[in-house]
Amino acid sequence: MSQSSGISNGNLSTHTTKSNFRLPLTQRLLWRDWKSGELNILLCSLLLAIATVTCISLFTSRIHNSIYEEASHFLAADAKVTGSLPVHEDWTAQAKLMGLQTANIIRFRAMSFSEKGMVLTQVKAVSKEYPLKGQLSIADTPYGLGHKTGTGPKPGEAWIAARLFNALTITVGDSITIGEADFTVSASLEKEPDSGQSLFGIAPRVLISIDDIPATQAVQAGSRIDYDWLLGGNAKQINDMEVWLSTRLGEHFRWNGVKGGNRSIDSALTRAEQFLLLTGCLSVILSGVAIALAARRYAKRHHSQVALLKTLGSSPKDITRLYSTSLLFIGLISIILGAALGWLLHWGIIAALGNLIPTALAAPSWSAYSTGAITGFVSLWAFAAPPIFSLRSVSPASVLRAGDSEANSLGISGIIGAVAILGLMFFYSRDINLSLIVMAGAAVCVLGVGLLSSLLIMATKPLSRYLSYTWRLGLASLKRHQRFNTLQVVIFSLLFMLLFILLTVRTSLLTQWQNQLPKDAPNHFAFNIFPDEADEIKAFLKQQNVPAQPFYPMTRGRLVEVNGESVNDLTKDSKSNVNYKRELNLTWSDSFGRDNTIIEGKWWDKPASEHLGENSPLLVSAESAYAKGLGMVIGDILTFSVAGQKVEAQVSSIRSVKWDSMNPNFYMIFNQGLLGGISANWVTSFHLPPEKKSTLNELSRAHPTVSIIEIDQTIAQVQSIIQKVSMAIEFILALVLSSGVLVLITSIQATLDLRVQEGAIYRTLGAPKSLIRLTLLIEFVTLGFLSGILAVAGTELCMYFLQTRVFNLEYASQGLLWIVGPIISATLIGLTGWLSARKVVNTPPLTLLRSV
Amino acid sequence: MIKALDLHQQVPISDGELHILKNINLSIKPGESVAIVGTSGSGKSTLLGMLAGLDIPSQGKVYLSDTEITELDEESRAAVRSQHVSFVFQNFQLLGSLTALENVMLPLELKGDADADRLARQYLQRVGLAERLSHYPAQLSGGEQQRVALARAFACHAPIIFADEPTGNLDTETGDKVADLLFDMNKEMNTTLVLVTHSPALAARCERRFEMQSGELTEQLA
Repeated sequence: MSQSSGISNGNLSTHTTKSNFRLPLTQRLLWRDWKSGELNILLCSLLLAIATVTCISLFTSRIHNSIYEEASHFLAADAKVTGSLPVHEDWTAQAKLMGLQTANIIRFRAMSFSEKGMVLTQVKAVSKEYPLKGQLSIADTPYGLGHKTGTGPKPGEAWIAARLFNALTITVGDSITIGEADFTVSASLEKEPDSGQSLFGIAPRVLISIDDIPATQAVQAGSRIDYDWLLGGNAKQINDMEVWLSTRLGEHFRWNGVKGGNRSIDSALTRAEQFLLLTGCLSVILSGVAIALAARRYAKRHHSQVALLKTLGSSPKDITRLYSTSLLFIGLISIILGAALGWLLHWGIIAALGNLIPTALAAPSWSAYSTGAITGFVSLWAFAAPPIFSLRSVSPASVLRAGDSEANSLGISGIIGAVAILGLMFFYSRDINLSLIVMAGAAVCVLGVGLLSSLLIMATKPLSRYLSYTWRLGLASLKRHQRFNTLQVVIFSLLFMLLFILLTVRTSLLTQWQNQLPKDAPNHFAFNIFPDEADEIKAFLKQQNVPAQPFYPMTRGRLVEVNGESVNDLTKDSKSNVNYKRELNLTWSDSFGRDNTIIEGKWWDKPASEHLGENSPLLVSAESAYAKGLGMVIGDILTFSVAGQKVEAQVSSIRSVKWDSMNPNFYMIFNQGLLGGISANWVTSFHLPPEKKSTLNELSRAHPTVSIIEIDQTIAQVQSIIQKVSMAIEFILALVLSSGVLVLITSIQATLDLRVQEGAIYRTLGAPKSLIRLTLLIEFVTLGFLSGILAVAGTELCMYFLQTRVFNLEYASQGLLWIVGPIISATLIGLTGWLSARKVVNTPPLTLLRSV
Repeated sequence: MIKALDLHQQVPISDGELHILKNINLSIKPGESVAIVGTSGSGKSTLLGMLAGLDIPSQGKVYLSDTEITELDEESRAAVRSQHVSFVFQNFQLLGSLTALENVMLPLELKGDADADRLARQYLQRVGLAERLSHYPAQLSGGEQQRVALARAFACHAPIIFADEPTGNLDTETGDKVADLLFDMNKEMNTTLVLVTHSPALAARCERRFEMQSGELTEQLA
């Protein structure tokens, strides 16, 4: 062999333009990393992140779409435009162009005549496409067994509300007259999908075909007619149409989406959506933590390899290129496998749910497929890349100095990670408020926990002098690795904080929903009760053993002025969702409902009955959202138009109302009867179990003018949706909890090397296995306990903002969590750490020393 | 070939500065073998790192064949190492995830040598490990691992070999065999050898010997 190259005859070549790395070498190093298990934790963390986010996205997307599908039945469409005029022709053309389904409804009040009677009815004329969502239910006899149908009545036929049969003294097959047209009553109308939106003030329903409208001659210039234009399509089509219409609706038309169609559904959907988004955000943080930890460990273990490669001539650029290529490979593999795993996992959950899901789930949205992959890609570069790329700055001279292995910059990695987490949370939730609250909570916790855990670990020192040798050894180890243990406490605390938040939010949401619609919630409303009928009906219900809610007097009226200024002027530029032009149901009472809370001013002391006939001032309590839209304050003078007369009242209190409770509730409650109580009808609600449905026939027969609204099916629908949402929440929680435990294992694994090394030294020095085992247990349990305390503190902080700002629930301190939290945390971390550290005890010390 | 002028290395410590290298001046000719001896912590390995361009001094200059490498950035110093310098370390520094053959091929592949496989096999045969090509470092004894490291150092035909305690982790008998191999191959390939060692016997086999004491270098004349 001879020297083939030398440098004695010239200057050194220092050109660096060509990369030294060829793909086969990169692949080989990566393959060997994989074979030796070096990549396992990083790859598992990435796979876990992508699989979890994909699974949650697919599952929530399907649950979300299913819930909206079901909720859309409340509108009989995916969206609708309501107005006082028919929609413009170009709107219809645009809907057709966008591929939307459409249907039309015309609603008006008219007298319905039979040979033996007449009743004011609410006529609803529908086109043949109605309903676009949900089904109608009709029966051959009033209150008979209903069957479902997907279309309305044929021209010339009418389907009428069950109670009209008694009121008009007719049976199925008889004729009724509306305006100038005669109709054959072909069925009793039991249920319309979109009936649950307005509980009061509607006359009994008559459903006819829209083709019969000209024959009735009921729609004339000046008639009060409502037009509904129903739209059906996918979320994008509906959204596009909403955007297109937003500048065209003007003051005569209103857009109604699925949300807002029913207050109970609206509130359940909004909160469930927030929860699922919160869960998604938290799983992104969990994944980020896991990936960052795994990458940090990977980088640390590659430190000496990089130093060696540098001594062999690799430049920093070569190192960056080598690890970029490796990361790309890892990313691609994780994204493909993780997405597939997430997809399988979501099917596994659906299969596991089995019969628990009442109907087949809707297909997921396309974006759900990409969410996991995008999360994985961003996580890879934001969480994994910084510690791995920091290897480029490893000094080649460190090959000469054992133990010189600090290459990672926590500061820069932390900043990149935090920005990425915020970005991903926003990408996932599209809710900057939610993202910022979670982020701020996490930031406060990380900083506060860092400081507190340092103090707590230091505080264990004076304690140790009263403890046994093993405890002293365990606590000394805790103190010795203070920086490293502080980091671990931060991670554990963050992890448990996220899990505690999810558990707490889930519990309060489920409790709130259960309270919202208890089993005996009123499911029927009776109104148009004349004052002299009220006592008879009370007695009748009592006799039937049907407990009734309080009876409220009710009259219709319109708010026309606030402090002398017209409501029309006040609401000209209002962005409030409240329709201030419509008539209100006005009542007067001594007390307010249990689901009402006085938030400003005070309730009157004297009972309403004592005010009657006196000249005492008329006071009114206004609903908060209604009041806010008009800028009302205590002491304002409101002018109402009631039965053509002007009535003035002073605002004495402002109430918040839980509209989703299904109880009778009112925007305005007065302290005394309006116009001396003349023209007031009474309203009540009661719970009627299915087996007592026939009671309605008797009630209807005895009091034919009383209007009864059955909302039992609506409540069943709401309960079914809430049940679905609750179940989804439970399963997703379980999924995130299990991924949290995996992150816990990852984080313990990531810091195991140091413990392995120390354990090996202890054992070399003759320490018995039991001593090392117990020392490790003490160290992990103490870490777990400290993390638990700090996690509960973080949970309290985040819960305050989440409950009050995001979920609109009342904040309550988590008393029990202060006891249970640290115990759970100590047990889980103690157990996981102890199990993970078995290697330290069971492997021969020489093998351990060689492996690190 | 290698020249160090007025080298100083200081690192900050809690109560001031630690002076690791003090005013080192050294010149090594091509093909020479030079030993640097000294006690632990005297600064031998730090000096080796400076001379090989693994680190840069706080003050002073290092020349490799008239080029001042202390002026170069890390990218350029890496290029220098790739072309002109090889190492043998006390703790072998083999990549555990690569076989003996792949460890020897590694620097050749980094240089883009298409003949890496043939050369690596040839040098492993030279160090007596033709039968252990596919073994991983963990499957080899300490002496065998150091022989793989020797094959790696010489296979890439670098004109300068830096050896940091090459027998420090080996028993006397194995250490002697590895030392024989090192000096034999150095002679065959006419490489310049800079050897850091504790062992006076090993140092005695070099043409020139220097002693490091508290960061100062003194040549021991024969």
